[in-house]
Amino acid sequence: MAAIEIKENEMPVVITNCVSDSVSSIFKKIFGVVPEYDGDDNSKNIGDGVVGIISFVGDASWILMLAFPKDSAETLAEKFCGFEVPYDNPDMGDVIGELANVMAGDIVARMGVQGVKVAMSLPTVLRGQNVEPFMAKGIPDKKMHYTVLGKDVMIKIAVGNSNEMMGATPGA
Amino acid sequence: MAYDKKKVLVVDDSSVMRQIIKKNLKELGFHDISDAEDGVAALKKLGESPFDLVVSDWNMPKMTGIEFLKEVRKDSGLKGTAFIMVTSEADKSKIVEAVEAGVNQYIVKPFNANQLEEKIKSIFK
Repeated sequence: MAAIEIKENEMPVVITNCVSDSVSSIFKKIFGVVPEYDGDDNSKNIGDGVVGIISFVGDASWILMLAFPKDSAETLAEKFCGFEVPYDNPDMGDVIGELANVMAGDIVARMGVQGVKVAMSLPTVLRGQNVEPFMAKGIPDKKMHYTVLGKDVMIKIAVGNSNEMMGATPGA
Repeated sequence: MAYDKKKVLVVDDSSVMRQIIKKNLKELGFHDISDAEDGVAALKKLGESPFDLVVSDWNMPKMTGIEFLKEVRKDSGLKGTAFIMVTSEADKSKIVEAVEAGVNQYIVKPFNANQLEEKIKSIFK
């Protein structure tokens, strides 16, 4: 399979579809409910929160950001772990990194079925106010907002060349 | 099946995942549970005393789970150690790679306690 051609301001449909399907499937497995899709408003931010980031390289180079506002992070982390994880606890980064990791593994498998081979990095976790990694100008990106168990979750995807992407190297 | 005499090593770079897996194992009746944060630390522990079961992640720094598995299977002294890979790597080629390297069972995250129990039962039947 040839690399996916990246056109300016255009998110490859195969990536968007795999991410969207993965969000529904993985959240249903973890939280017991299919998340409600709340649109793709690119101007909407999460405020104070924590973000798990995974980069992908291969037929397509892109990144996945899984962002949780503080309140969502605490509620959903407890549901995922089966025990309470305070927002300021170092384990919170672990939980969000793990959620991003689980979703990324599912996405890799889904893309593989579509004939698109990609490898995923280990997760990077950032925490703060409207935190997002710095991206090169002109890179196509898309935000997808969801509600899970009454809590907001934001997914952001951005595609580009591998040297424009951030995150840990696969296997590093 | 009583697991209270079985010795388990949980290997994951995520402290939270180690806690979740250990909690599940305790609920299944395991008492003797150790943990390590990567393959290098896990191999050191395996060299110090034998374990009946290793439950390991795949994506870890320093030494990945598949590299760790291959090291375990190369060591004739660890022949009796069962190995479960618990990982987010859901791609079929990864599962095949793990099976070829000698994994006993493979669990794709997210998993629940019942799935873990089923895999363990199939090993210690």
